Amino acid sequence: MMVGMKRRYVVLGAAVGTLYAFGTGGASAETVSPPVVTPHTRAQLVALGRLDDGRVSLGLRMAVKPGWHTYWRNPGDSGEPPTLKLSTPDGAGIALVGWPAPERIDIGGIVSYGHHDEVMFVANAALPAGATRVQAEATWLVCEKVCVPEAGKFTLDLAAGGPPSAATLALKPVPSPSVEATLTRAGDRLRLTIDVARLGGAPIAAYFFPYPSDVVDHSAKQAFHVEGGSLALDLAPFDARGRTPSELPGLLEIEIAADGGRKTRRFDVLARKAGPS
Amino acid sequence: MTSTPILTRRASLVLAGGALLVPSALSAKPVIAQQAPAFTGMGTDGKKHALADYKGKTVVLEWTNHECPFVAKHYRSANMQAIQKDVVKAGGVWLSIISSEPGSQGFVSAAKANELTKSRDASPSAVILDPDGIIGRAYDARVTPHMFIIDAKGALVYMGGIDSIRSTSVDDVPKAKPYVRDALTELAAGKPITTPSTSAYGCTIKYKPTA
Repeated sequence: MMVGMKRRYVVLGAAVGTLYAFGTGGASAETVSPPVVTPHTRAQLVALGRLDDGRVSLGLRMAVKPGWHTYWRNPGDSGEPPTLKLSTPDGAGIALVGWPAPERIDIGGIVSYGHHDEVMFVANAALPAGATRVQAEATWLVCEKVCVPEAGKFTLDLAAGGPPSAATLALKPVPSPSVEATLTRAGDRLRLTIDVARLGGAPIAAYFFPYPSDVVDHSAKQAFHVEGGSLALDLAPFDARGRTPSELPGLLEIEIAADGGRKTRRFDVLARKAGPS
Repeated sequence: MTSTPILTRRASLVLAGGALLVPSALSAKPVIAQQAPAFTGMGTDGKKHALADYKGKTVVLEWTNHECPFVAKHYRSANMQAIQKDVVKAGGVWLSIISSEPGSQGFVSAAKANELTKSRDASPSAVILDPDGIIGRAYDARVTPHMFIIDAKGALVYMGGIDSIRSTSVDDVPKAKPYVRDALTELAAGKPITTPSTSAYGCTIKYKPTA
């Protein structure tokens, strides 16, 4: 029984490795852990560099099987975001701070936020002085029609390897420019109002991915209009009778007309409740 | 009046002539403190179960899919079974509802559902099969587990997650704020529910496309 299971795992692993190998050609000199290969994912921990405060910036790089997805920081109406922690006795969690832009995944009208194909999540770890090795454990949920929780243990030798490869850097989440917005009530909706001049043009499409998972009804339609130089985006609150929160942060994704086509732009939005504070 | 959600849904399906129209189910959310949507469903015990039959009792609805890792978390930790036992012991009714469409994850025969109840030492009052998703859509149930509590007068007093930690890890069960348990305790004590609506977490319900 054990032998059979093991063999099946290895065969699957080999198939996944061949199909979804990272595009580094295998000859990369970057500082990267051996891959963890699960039935649906190939994952690695890669060193992205050292911050001024001495912390090590780590990338949790994951390639999932075609058609499967992992989840964003706010997974929407289903799912679970990935987690990372150091394999120390106290098992300190390392907050994931860099998130790739999510996709809206609609399954039968139930909307989740996640990622297909290959993504990288970023975390900054404080290591003991002089540490040359990172041992960390990650968990993630990968779903297609069904969901499977997966996990992996990574060992990263910081002394062996060079800077991140171009392929790794290309996956690194890029922070979006910050924009402020006003948060008001418009009937039973929460309304974000943003100066269009800050967005580089009037949007022809707009969608707001909230960072908290309990403010907005993710499966409800979002409606927007542009009026008097402002974008007004109406969101259904999760709790129709609840109070308007004092702040609502999130990622705004818009499309604007450009060169006869459409251009996608993203902004890191902080909406603050209007009125006397 | 009480059967409006179901009739509306059926009527809309008939009007759509079988076309794959996106139903407006998500706009018809149940509302806290109002009458919970009425339904009648077929139980795995071979009997019909109508919500109206249980007037005068606290009713808990649990949307479930035994293969969903979020559901498995609460059965492996025996958290779900413990709440079920307490509800039934206190004279309440626990209905586990399966809205997976045939062929999808979580869809089971009545016999298999009963076997799962036995093997997991669960004690629902009944397990209801809802393969057409009619009850699920009437409640705007989105994930498994998605929990609803209905008071003795038939009003919805809680909807949302079973607890506060959105994960598949059994270790998180004792650390989480147990929303459903807390609501049941407050309801039994005749107190208002502190947190009547929370964001449910879990696997999306595998609805039939026409549901």
